[in-house]
Amino acid sequence: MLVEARNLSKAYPLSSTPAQRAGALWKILTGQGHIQRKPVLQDISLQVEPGQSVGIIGRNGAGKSTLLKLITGVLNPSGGTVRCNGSVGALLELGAGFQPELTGRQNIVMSAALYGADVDFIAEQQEQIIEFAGIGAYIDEPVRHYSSGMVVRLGFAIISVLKPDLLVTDEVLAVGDIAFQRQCTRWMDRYVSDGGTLLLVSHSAYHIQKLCSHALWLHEGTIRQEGDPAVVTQAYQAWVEAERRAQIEAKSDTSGDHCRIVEHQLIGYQKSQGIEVGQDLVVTGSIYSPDGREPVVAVGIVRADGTPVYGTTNQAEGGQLHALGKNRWRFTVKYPNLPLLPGTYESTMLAMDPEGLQVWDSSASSFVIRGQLRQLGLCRLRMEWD
Amino acid sequence: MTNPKATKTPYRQRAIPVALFVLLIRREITERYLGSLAGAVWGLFHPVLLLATYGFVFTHIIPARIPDASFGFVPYLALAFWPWLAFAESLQRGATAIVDHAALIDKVPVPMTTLVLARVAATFAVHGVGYCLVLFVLALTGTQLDLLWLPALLPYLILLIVFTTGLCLTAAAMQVFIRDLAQVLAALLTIWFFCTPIIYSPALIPEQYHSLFAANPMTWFAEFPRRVLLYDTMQWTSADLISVAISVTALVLGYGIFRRCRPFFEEFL
Repeated sequence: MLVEARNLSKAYPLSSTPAQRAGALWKILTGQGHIQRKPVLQDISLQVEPGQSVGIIGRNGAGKSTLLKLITGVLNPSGGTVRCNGSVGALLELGAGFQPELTGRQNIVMSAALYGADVDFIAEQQEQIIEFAGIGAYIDEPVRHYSSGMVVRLGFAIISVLKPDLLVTDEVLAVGDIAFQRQCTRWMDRYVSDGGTLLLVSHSAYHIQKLCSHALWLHEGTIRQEGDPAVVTQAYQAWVEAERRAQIEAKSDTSGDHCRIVEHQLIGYQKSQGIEVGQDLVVTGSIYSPDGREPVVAVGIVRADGTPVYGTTNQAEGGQLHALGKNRWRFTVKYPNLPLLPGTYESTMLAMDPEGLQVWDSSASSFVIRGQLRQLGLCRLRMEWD
Repeated sequence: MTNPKATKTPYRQRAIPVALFVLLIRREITERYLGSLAGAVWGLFHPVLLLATYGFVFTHIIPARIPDASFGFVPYLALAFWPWLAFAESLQRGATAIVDHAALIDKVPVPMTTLVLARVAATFAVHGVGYCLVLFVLALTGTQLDLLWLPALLPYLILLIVFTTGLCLTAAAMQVFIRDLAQVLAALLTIWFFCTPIIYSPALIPEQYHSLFAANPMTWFAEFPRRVLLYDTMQWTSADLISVAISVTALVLGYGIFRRCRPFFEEFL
């Protein structure tokens, strides 16, 4: 067993005033008294075998980072035990373990020493690390001059040479550019297939399903569900969706004098995946109408640089809005086989009064069309070559 | 890229992270003394400047009496001044060794004791070089130093490091919980400096305060180099043994406190 956590829990002290901190010191030194704590992680048991990849999902504050930090040994458990029989590489938050005043080159050595790696080995591998990072002359600049992307590049390059038995990471990779993300994904694929063990925290169901063989859903410090990544991520997404809807319901009850957009959503769209050229895009929205009359809705698409692609109103198209209770109206509109060329776009929405004269509210939601760019322009037009 | 199953492993398990220790010392020295022009001035000239000022004041303005002296005030002061400097600066730097690395401790498992030890070692390295230079200059300028006894300073130095490390570990652990400690410490060190016979001779201390001054461990540390190099009297006294006992106790106690608090550092940083 590479990682073994038993009934692991972590609680942070509540005390923050100087007097309370001094009191805590006294209690620690005398071993008497009780420090008041707030639990963030409770009764987590987890076993990771060598070669296994475990994904952890959960919303912010669920205790994901705390769990990773307990496993890497940055935090000490308040209860239970955690054991890790092997070298651990952590690629957590930005700049993990880098000293801002040292140059990239110096940080390579310092990081290696902190990981307990052999400094001579790292000195031999330095060129390889620098090449992987691909940040050019910046390697001799202090790290505080780096962009966040460069910091991640360097951090990942070091890990790629250290090849720890266990790699613990969260969504830091999302920071790098596409080319570097591909380089990292390739490396991780190979690392996993060569028997490396991965512990990945992600909000992206896609990444978890692609890289992990086991998934863990943390909710308010406890394991809510675990098992097959597809099953767990779907359950998690369903829950997130339900939460979101509940929030919208709560919000839509509040009154207002004007038409207001309550919801604007791209159904089934996942940020991490985007959509392919020619796929369907479904937009749904709901509008609050103060007097309960049916408002007019304008929907359209704008390219990320502001170029309008298309826009129209339900009035002009004869589109129907469906009453949803006394003051709310919902609509759903589908763009079948959306012929937009690859790039970033925004789905826009305007809420107008029932007469269609005045715009009261607007909203935009961006989406990405993936695919290879072989043509010019905004969208694919049907052509028939002779 | 090489095969992850390469025969050579980058990991070498060591009980004491020597490589990290050396790196930290080197960084501390570069950062504090060599990193900038001001740093170099601080490291080399500040103690010399202080010595010159004290020398001037206590030779020409308030002439200090040193009983049975065949030497001037400057060598008398210098011999005790450098050890004090190394001690005081180590304590101040060491006290913040943990809190200064809060960002690092939050992300990587860091050997905490090494952080404190590296600061003590770096400060002693810099002032050790300074001390050697000062002894050299004093010998050149005609001060009768009994350099045969120089090796006796080595165990003395080790003892001073042991004592300092003990206090540093205590201070570093407490600083995590009590953030004003460093400021208080700076003030305390000034008072401690004047309560230690560094700029005056212990022979001038009135009889009724003798036991009070004897209770100050730094009195012995200030006196020892003078006794050996200037007065040329190498008789073992009970004070020597007591100092060894105090230093070892300080280290054991300091490490005990540090180890007890260490698991809680991350929660209070």
